[in-house]
Amino acid sequence: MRISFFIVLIFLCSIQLLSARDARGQDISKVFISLELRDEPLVAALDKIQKLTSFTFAYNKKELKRVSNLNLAFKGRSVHTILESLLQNTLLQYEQVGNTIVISYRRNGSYSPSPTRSWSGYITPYVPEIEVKVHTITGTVTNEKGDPLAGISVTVKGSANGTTTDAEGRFKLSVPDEGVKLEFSSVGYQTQTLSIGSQTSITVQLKEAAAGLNDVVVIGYGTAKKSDLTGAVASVKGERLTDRPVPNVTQALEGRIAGVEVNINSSAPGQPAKVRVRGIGSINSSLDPLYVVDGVTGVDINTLNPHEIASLEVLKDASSTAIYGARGANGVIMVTTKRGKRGDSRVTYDGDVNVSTLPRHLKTLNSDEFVKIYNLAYANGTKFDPLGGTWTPPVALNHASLPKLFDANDKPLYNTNWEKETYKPAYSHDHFINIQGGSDKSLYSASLGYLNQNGLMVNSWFKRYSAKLTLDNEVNNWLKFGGYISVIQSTQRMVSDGNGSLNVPRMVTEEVPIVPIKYPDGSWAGNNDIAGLEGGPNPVHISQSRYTLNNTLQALGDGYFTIHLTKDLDLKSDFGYYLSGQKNNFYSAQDLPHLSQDQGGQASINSYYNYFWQSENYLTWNKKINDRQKLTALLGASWQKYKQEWVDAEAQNFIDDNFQWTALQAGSVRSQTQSLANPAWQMNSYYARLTYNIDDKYLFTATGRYDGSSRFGENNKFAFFPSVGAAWRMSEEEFLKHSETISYMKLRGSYGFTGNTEIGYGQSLGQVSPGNVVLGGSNQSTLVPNYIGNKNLKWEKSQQADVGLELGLFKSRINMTVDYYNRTTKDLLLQAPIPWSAGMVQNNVYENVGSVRNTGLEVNLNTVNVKTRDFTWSTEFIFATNKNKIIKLNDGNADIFPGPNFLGQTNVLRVGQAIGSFYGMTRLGTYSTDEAADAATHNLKPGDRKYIYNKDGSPYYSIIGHAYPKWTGTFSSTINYKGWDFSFDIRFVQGVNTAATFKHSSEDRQTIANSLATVLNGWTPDHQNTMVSQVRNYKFAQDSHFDTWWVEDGSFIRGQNFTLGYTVPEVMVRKMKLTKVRVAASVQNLFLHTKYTGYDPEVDTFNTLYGTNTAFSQNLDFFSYPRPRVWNLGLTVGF
Amino acid sequence: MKPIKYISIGFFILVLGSCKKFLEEKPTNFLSPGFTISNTKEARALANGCYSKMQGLAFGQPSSYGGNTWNLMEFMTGKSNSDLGQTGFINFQNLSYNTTSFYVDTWWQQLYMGIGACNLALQSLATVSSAVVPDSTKNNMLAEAHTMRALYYFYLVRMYGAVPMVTTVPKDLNLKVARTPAKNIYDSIILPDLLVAEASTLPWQDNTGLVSRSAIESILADVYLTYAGAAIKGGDQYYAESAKRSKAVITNGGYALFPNYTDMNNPANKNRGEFIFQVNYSASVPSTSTNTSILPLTALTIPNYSGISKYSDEYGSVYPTDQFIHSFLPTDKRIQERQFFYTKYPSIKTPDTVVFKAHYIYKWFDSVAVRNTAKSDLNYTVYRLADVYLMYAEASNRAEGSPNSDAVNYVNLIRARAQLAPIGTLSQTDFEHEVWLERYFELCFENKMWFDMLRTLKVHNDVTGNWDDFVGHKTVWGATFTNSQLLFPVPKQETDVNPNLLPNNPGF
Repeated sequence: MRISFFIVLIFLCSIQLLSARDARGQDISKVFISLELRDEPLVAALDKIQKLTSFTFAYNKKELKRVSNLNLAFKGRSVHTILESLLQNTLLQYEQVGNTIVISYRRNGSYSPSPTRSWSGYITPYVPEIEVKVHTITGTVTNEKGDPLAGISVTVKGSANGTTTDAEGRFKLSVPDEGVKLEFSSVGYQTQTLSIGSQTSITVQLKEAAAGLNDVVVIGYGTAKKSDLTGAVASVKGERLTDRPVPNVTQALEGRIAGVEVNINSSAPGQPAKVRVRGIGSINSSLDPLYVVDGVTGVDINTLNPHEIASLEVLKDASSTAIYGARGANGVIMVTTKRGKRGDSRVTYDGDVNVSTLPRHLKTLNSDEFVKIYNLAYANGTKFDPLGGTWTPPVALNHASLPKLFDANDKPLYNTNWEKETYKPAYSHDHFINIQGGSDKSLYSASLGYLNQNGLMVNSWFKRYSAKLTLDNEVNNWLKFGGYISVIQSTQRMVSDGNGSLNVPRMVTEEVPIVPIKYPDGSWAGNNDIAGLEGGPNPVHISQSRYTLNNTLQALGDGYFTIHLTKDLDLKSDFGYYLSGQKNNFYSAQDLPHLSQDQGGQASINSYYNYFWQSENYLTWNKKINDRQKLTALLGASWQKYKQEWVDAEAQNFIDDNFQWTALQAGSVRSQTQSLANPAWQMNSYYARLTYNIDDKYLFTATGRYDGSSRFGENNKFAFFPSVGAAWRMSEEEFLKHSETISYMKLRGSYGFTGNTEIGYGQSLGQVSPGNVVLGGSNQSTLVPNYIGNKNLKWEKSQQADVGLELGLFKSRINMTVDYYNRTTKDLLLQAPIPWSAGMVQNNVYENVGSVRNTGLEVNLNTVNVKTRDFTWSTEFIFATNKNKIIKLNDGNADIFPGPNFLGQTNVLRVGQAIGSFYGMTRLGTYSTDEAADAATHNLKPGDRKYIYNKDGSPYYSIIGHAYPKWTGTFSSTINYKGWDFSFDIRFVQGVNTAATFKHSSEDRQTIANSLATVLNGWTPDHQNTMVSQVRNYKFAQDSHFDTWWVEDGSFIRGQNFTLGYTVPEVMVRKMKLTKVRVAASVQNLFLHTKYTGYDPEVDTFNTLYGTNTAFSQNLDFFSYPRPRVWNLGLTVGF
Repeated sequence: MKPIKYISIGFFILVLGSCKKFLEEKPTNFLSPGFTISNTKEARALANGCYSKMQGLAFGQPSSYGGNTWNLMEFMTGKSNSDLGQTGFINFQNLSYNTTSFYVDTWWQQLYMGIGACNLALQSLATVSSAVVPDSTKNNMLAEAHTMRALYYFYLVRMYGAVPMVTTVPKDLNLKVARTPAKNIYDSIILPDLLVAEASTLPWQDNTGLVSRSAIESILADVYLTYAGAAIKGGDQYYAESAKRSKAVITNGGYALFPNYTDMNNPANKNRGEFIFQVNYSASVPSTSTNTSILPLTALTIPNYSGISKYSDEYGSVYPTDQFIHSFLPTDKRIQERQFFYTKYPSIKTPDTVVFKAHYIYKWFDSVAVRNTAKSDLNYTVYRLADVYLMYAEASNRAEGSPNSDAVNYVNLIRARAQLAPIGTLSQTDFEHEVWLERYFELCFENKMWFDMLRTLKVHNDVTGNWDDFVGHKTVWGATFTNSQLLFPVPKQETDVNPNLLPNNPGF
């Protein structure tokens, strides 16, 4: 906590505010325009001047009517000259006050200069002056509100010629000729290019960029100005997502948005990250947010090419998510992909080349150490089991018994560093090309992408090809139609399957160093070559001979039409689809002991076919009631259907490893044939939203969705999810409108309900399921009671309250958003355990019991610390804290042990505690020789691990850690200097534990595998003050338990990303006939500051796949795929 | 433009309409519990379902390495050792097991799942019309289901004592059934079920592993023997009932003792010869994630990482203590090399012979699996003729007050195969002790000994040769049996969900 405040303090102090506000207006004698009047009234003339300059006129229309129409022409004259000319022979005079020119009657009825007036208000007789050069352009730059903007860079496109605006937003620039283009740019604003033509004075309004408050953001079934929202919506632009090389969208989101926690739990190529919005709100239902890609709901976001994304919005509170009702409880992530733009075709290429390296090391025993520990362990056997056992190894580690591994002097021949052999630098590249363009009536965008990602772990890779085409067509003034189609093909080669088994990451630690990868004769070496060892094959061998090829092909898209029914009313009908096919091929060779040797080789093909369609139809009514009140209303209906079909075939006992999954018939044993065609669900929903805006000050939103789902009991199919939200834009009030300090201030609050339906198929129904039993030497069909069912199953409902404050200070140089929320999920879809005595195969049933609360605070702080023409420096700090608490469980509130049930119970669900509580024993250390008597009461000895026990002698179990952090934050900063930019993101995750469960097999199992180097710190008579027990042969190993020694501090500070980029100046780019060239070098995961002893504290080895929902395996580390440090070179070229 | 606008508004009104059918679930990958049996095959599948949890008798223990439900009964006797810490052996070696210990939960789960399958079969088959399934077929299927339910309950009451009595597939979520005393379970389920089954026309022998008359009578003999025994003390008249059943098996079953012990390691002898009722496995049926088809005990009993087999995992999960081996007569054939035990075997990798540090169990040593396929093709025996012979001997001796000639003969048949001299005339007590001891030797590591100890409340002391009282017996590991060992605790997992099961058994 302290660190974060410290950082905030530093950059608050470092903000240098530009002062020097000039109270004077622009000199009217120095603003030159051309003007032509053909029998036009004076009002028209003033109007024209007003349009061409930054001046405004104040006058009484009646007074001006007396002046007869004018016929005059001015070319390149000063405003002063023109006004003098216009008012000649009238009774009018003018006076300049700032940029306002007041026209009024001459008080004394006569014409005479007044010496008392200020310099800007003097009147001189008309004096013809020489024509000034037309190629001096002056102008003013303002924001959308009309406030002048200082420090905006104004450059003549294609030249180095440029200037910046002054404190009044004014600039003056000499240009070589008419017809040039001026470019206006600044951090925080969208760059704008204007053709100047013959104008000499212009006013430019710049739109605020990404962080801006007036951005249009995508919300459910529509868009809204960010400032008009009553809900908590966060937005990220596509460029920001892809400013570092990321293979998928979820990884790109890490550390971007307060309240959106992303965990990259596996670094295997192609693996997605886990995304949680505002904590864990459910126990057995889905925890994934709902992804909506261009209106298509429920898309597997991770298959998308992140480069396709134009913007991404996260809807966090009930006011914004309730429109998605039953599927909105975990937040909604709206993805908008790139579409066509008016104008010439633009081609953009983005490319990345990078190399991954292993940043941290997990030290294991080397050959000499292994031999020493092995012999010592056997020698210690007599102590731990004086009666029973084996005190000499089955095979002595020497030349006599293992001539292939030891030389004549009994020295090991090999000292293999398996980490080094398995985790090697890997090169990856990513290419994306996009064409956007369009005429007035039709817009198109087409893109192609290719990703070739190679993982740190040898032989693991991921390849993805993607293509997308969008079309938007305006047929006439009332009909629009369009759509898009996106096709993605990917292949992933996974080599690290089977958590808990002797897989690659595990064997990196447990393969003994005394064997080589291969013997000189070319045959694979492994632990199996030494009797008495648990004979896992070496990791390089596994990575070559055991793999899964995951092939995915998917098509995603929609077709829509919009009919403009009346001036205010539109009908949109959108048909979206999402089809995906998956074929996962697996093979594990005959020579892999413990994995597939017993089976004689094992191949399987696992294939999925999924389809989803939705029909969304809605009316939007935009009504401006009067100048003060605006109303928008939305009414729609939705139909959705999802279906999955699945088949799994497996064969074993292959005649040759050549065949693999390509010829299952080459395996003599057909071990598996299963299919499933039923997981399907349908939804039928109706939704409405009303927003009401008074004076842009008071904003109200009411949303409701009536959702019907096939997944619930007959009587509970439909449910209603309402929400209300209100916002008060205080900065529009008189008392703040003119504040120098507060440029924007909005207070908002919302309350509402959302739901969760993401449970399996048929969970309300009792199930009798088919199966098999061996009788008479072959399989016979069985029918057994499988699942008890719950006819009363109904919706899980979340109620969420949110209060937010949006604040812009010092002309939005400091922007802050603070949100507090309280989300309580009730009627949890809990897989409540039932007694085994019920006789069901599944000893649980979905019930609506229990409740969970998440409360949290989110802060997003953006500051522009320095902003000059050449140099800008901005920082962003994101902070989020979430407190999770189980309020109620099933009847009686008994503890639930939710798994993953590897190495016993590791997690507990207990009322009053948070989801993700680790549960285990407390290790105090090891028994010293003085404590022999105490140890004996637990049948233990000095050198054994010492735990806390209950009075009755049973081990004391308690909550010993938490898998979810107290707070997380990201500190980012960007510095721009001329064409150079440098940015970094540092991520903080604090107050969290990670369980190094791998210590079980690598610290407590000497003599059957290699161990962590920490066993060198094990108990010895001379070294009794240690947490690591005395080494002994495995037979006498003290039974390992999940305990406080494994559950470590998992807090970390990570150098998430550092980027140095250079954008080639336009003038050079133009010479190359290009529109943009940018090169960038970046590094991800540059540093990791943590006390955690494993590879990375951000881990979940039990649950690396998308869509599997257990919240309970987070931060359980049983040999992970280490997270690489990635060195990247990126190139962007625009044609 | 106007017509299109009207059409589109019409379309919109249409989509606002609701369609109830759209939200219906029409499952085809499972049946609902009230389904109607449409043919004999379906009826057969229900009957087969009753056998599906027999593998629960030798079922892998979650979170363990080398753990199996079978381990529990052997660990408890104090006559076993284990090569593996992860079998939880130490908790049973020193009798410090508790409500969350290994096996105690898995046994409970497997047995009740078996009962669930039987209840479904019984209630579904009861309603089937004779037009769909002929009555004779139906009645025999019902007999199988009754037998299996009785068998599962028989294990439950011996292990846990009073347990929830569940005889139908629950229809709602009122599942917190209280415990019914063990005797009531015998009286209202186990005995009635078996007596119904006994009246069926099932064959006396079934070589496919289904319930036969002999299986029913064997179970009934065991049940009556136990019912009369120390745990229930149902009455001495039940010894006669027991003897009657075992005699029926011996007379009508057509079984004979295998000439060689190693005939039991021959897959060709499955469900025949001496084997009356077995848990069926098959090497030719591949195991899947949901269905174990291969006997796990073969790999489980090979010395840990000894490198003598094709198995990647050689566990050494359970093996006899030296004291138990020494309690046999040295000449007993059963302790000779590669009869019930072995002490050495050729290495699979080198020409050497691997000599073990102790005797290891050879009863499930399928040599083809060990040397070639790593797939055992053996079954796990629940009842075999030697067991029935000894049950008859014990029951008739009690019923009649002294051993009859058949009883003596059966004991001598078993001794003869062990190349031991026949016994002569013995007193009732001496004969009983001889029978008990023969059961220890003959049926060792077949999950019989622990139930014998509970039934007789006597334990053979391998060191002194005495018959110790169960309570107070000190194992070779220095642990002493107390009343807490008479029943296993109801697993915590179950009492957490169903607090009506509390208080737990004495000592827990």
